[in-house]
Amino acid sequence: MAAPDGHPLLRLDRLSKRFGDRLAVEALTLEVAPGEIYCLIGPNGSGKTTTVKMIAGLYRPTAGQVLIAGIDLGAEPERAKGLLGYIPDEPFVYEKMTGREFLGLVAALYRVAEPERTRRIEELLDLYALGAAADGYVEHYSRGNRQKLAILASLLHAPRLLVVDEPIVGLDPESAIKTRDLVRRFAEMGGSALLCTHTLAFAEQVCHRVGLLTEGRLVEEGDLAALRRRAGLPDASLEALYLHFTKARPS
Amino acid sequence: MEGSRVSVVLRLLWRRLDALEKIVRDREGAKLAVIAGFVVLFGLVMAGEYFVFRQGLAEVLSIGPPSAALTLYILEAFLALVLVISVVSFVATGLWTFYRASDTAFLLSTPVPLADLFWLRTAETFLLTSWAFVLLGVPAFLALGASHDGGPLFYLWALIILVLFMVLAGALGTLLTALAGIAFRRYRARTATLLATVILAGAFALLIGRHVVPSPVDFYLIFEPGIPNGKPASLKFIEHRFWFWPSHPLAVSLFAGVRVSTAGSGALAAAAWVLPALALVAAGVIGRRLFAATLPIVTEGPGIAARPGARRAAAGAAFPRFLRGPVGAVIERDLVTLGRSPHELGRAGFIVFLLALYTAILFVAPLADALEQPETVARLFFLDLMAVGYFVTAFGIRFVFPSLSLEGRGAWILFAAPLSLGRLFLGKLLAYSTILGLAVGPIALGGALRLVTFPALLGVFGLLLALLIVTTVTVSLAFGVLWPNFSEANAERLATSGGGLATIVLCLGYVAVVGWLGGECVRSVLAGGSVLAYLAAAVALSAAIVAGAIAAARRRFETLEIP
Repeated sequence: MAAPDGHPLLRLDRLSKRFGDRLAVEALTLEVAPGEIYCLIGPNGSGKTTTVKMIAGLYRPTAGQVLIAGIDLGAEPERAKGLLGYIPDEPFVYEKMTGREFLGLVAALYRVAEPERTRRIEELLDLYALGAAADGYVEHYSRGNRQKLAILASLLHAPRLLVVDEPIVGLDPESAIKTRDLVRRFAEMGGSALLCTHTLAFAEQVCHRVGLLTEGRLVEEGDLAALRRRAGLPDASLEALYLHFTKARPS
Repeated sequence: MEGSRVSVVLRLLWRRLDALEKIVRDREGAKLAVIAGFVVLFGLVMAGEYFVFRQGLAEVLSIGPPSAALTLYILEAFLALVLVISVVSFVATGLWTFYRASDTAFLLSTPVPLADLFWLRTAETFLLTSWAFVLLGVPAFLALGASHDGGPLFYLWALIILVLFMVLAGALGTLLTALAGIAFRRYRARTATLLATVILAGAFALLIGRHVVPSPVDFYLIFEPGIPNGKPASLKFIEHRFWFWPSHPLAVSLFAGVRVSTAGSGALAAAAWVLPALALVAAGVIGRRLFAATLPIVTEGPGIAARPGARRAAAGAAFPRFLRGPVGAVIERDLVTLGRSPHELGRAGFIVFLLALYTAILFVAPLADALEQPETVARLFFLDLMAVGYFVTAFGIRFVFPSLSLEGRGAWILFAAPLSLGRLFLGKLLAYSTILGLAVGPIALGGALRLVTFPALLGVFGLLLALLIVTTVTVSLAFGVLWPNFSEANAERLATSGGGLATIVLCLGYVAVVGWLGGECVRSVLAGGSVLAYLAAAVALSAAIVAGAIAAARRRFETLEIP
């Protein structure tokens, strides 16, 4: 489970987050290896988005560490974030910019220099055939086009780790299939992805391993075969497994 | 039918006040403290204005017979100035509230008639822009009564005049907003707002420069002792000077209420009532029709009706175009989004317009004799620095303080990126200071040139202005970091939050100290002394505030979280 340089691309080490009296994430430990797609699933309020926001550097952990390719996010945030591509659950982007300008801004934030910047932007816009909309202001984009723009922005600097909160919400079926293939290809090329989703069919199609989070704790983890063995349901879908494990643990 | 129409408008207006009502009902301590703070601040400003007005009017009274003409001139000029500020402010805000308000699409989908929407927008814009009447009008009218020993009847009369004046200004603002809306309906929103504001502000500035600000010759006429045809020549001159200002009948009526005089006539007294009523009817009939004709065109497309086939901005162009590096890209984004937001651009333009107006008045005011007195020069220098500092603070609180909070739901973009927030802070400090320096510097230095011509004192003014700008921008940025609110997208509400109030208090306190040091510099130079001690004190104070603010912001960045 280690990268060529000896580190997993993502390691959460006893990560906790407390909001006042409420413990949102409790001593969460997990690793994502190069080439691996890891899906974090769980009911609403289980701590998935909080975990993802801590990995993206938007929340400060109350305890524990986030290591990206062995780099401590708390100690060296700029180095660690440079390896990360993040797609939030709500793809809000600057309304008064065009899509192309937004991608240029993100490329500059991640220090992607010209002419590589322009080449990458054109290449990525072609992925979702967004070229025609790219010069219109984002305020006129549909939810799906904003999501596509956020996905493209996360890939601009060729990250090693992709962290995605709800990857296909708002996308039309064709774009959802493209996104699935995009994530798979990203992993095949050695990248790692942590997906956080309620779309269990999508998770079943792309994920190598699944982690089930309830009340801030990782209660089950493994590939589909391992989860089926543990549940005693040899042919169960991820949806059936999810229902099995969550019903077994009433909150 | 009319009853239900009024009730719909009132109900929609009441929705706007829900937030305020909730704060009071739920006894939200922090917000109540902010509101109380602003009430106290406004109260202090109004009390200060009252004492300055009362003292000034008492001085005028003490000069004997010419005081009547001078008092009338002051009233005419004052009402004309407040009218201009109110109308320009109304149009700049109205082009947004009438045609670009976020709930327009929703309201158009409901059975609310367009006429009701028109009255709703009129009332909203009036409430948003009526601060000038309360802040400037009330203390001035009270001071007029106090300095002239006015009885209860005078105050009742003054209240009636104030209401008539508010109706007049609101109606003229509505009419001009509707006219600007239809005239610029084919333009993009920002171009329309900019054009309307610049045209109106330019026209009014010209009128004020030519007719309101007195020249030395005017003073000779005001002090003219002749009484041809039973009316003093000085009063005739003033009435002739202001006859076409819509505020003229009201100024004369107010004057007649406080001075036993021969100013005005029966027709003019009637005009004080008829003119506001006519303006209101015109706004209701013409304004409403223009609004109904304009709104569908405006809401059809982006901006104030995009021209068919209009080219979208910067198609295919790379970004960033002018600035380099991550921090440069964020600053260029700030500038690009400001340039594309007509509302924000209008607000920035309005602040610069007010500064330019103030400077123009300073330039044409008959100060030649007064500037012969070193003590007067020192006092005016102090007041000028205070005035410029006030405009810089207004810009800081409105545009710099909210800059972090306005990242809003898009804050993830910056905070998830490998961007040094400390460097971003310093980059924004440099950028906003430069912009303010370029926008305010030449106008403020022009005003200072009117007061002092010594190169040394101009240098002092330049240095103090630079300190004012850098310190105010630093405090505004740092306090924005200390008290961010990513869920509030309205810059005006952010500016009036607790953090905004703290920024205003600190900045204005600092401006007062720097202004005082500036005045002392003038006294010292004109007495042949040195300014070094005063400048060193200003530099030390500014450096301490800047260093403290940056340190506090850096500490806050270490714990800041993005919801």
